[in-house]
Amino acid sequence: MSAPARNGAPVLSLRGVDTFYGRIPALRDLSLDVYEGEIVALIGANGAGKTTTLRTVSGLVRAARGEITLHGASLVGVAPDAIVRKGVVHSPEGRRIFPRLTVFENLHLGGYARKDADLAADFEHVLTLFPRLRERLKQKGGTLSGGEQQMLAIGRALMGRPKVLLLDEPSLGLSPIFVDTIFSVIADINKRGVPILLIEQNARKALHLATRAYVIETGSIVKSGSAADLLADDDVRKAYLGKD
Amino acid sequence: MHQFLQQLINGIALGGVYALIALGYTMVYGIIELINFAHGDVYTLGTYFSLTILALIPLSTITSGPELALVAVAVILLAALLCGIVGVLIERLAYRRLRNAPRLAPLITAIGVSLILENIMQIWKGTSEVPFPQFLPDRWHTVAGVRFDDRSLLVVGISLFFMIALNLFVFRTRLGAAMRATAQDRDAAQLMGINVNSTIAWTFFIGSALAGVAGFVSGLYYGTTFFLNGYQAGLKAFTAAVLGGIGNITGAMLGGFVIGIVEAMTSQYISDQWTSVVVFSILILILVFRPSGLLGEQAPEKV
Repeated sequence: MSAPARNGAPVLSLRGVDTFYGRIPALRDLSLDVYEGEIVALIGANGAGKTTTLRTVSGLVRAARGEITLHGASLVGVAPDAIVRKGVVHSPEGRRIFPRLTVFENLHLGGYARKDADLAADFEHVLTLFPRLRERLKQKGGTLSGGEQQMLAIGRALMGRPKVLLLDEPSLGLSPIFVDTIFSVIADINKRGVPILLIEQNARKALHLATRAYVIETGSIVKSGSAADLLADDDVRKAYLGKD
Repeated sequence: MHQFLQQLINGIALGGVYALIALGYTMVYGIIELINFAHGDVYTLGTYFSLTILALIPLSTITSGPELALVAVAVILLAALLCGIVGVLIERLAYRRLRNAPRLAPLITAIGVSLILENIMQIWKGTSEVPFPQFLPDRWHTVAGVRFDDRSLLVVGISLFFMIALNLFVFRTRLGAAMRATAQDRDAAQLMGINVNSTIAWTFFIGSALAGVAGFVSGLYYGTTFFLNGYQAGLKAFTAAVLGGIGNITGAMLGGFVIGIVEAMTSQYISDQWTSVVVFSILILILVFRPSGLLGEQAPEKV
């Protein structure tokens, strides 16, 4: 099954990427694309290489082989902070907010790389998306609940005004109500024109939200297609969607 | 009582010096978890830079107060700048490539850098005591029976000024926020677009520049130094940093003053020769009973 045909070049593209941790291969010949307007889900088991894929894109792990491009410009070998300045914003696994900085400081660090004057407007926008954060601006990040920390992590990523947003397990460990809130915010961010590459342990929810999806096993893409097709795929249903 | 107040003032002046040095230990530890054993020698280097610069100025022709103040400010800033550059070079040449090495490697390297700096200073000025030019008038004040001179006031004033400046910098500026973020989570800081290498370099610059200020201040206060001066002063300042909670900036300042006062009181009420014993006993006691220090983080962090 193949991805639906689309116009124009991808925003983010990985071609034949290999990544190693020491001598242990983590990604093998991995290729994927994210096009304008899309939410692309990357689903797979624990240890399949989902997080490594995002860390390779954002430069925290260096690709040993292959090409990674943003609007056609190579990202391989570019320092992580420079990749952020190009507009690839990565909200990492485990949220990784700064626990001893205030919510206000955490959010403003999200815009650290930016030089433009719209920070204040984006700050307002984030607080409108997450009114809870407004009440907690002076609190230390580490004192927030898990759900609030996730809001902070996403809000912080938005402060970077992403050209493409990488989200690693945004719903992990959250209560069902928070999960719905986070998912509707992700949909909203996407509607405002930000393409998203999403890792999610809740494959069913991810596929319902996504435009397209890739299935990753032991560091390689084994299947890809429209989210609707994958939802109907027998192998995917058995392996990732549980009993139905 | 007079004796006590007298020693309190001495202790605060001494503590200001320790606090300035302790800040460098604690900032560097906070950001790369390295005990920079060369830091004490950067402090002595600060005294050496200061007295060398002072020797170039025709001090006997300068007598008016404002001019002397200008000289002091210029020498402090130059010594701070030079020490800051030394700190950046040490990080760049010795520590950076070891950032992901086992922790013993940078620690041993730090001791090596310390020996190199001590040997450079030994070649530079020899092994005997080096006098520090006394360019301030010898003016004493007596308040409620306690005697102190302009130098004590200046030492305390300069220390406090730089501590307040540092606090404003770390807690009110963009680069300060980047430093705190890098100290808490280096990967996440990179994902914010923070250049971690330059942030760490700035941390070394600022910590070492403060050691340079401490070097000037202590030269002024004691009137003399020698090439191994930073060895013990460094260890005492390190004790101050551990006492306050290593990695904690406010803690380093607090610890510096506590150690300074303890040292002054020990020399008054026990014996001059016991000061090191008392200070390092404190270090052992903290490490045993409260390793996180007075202001260190106690609770595990929520992730």
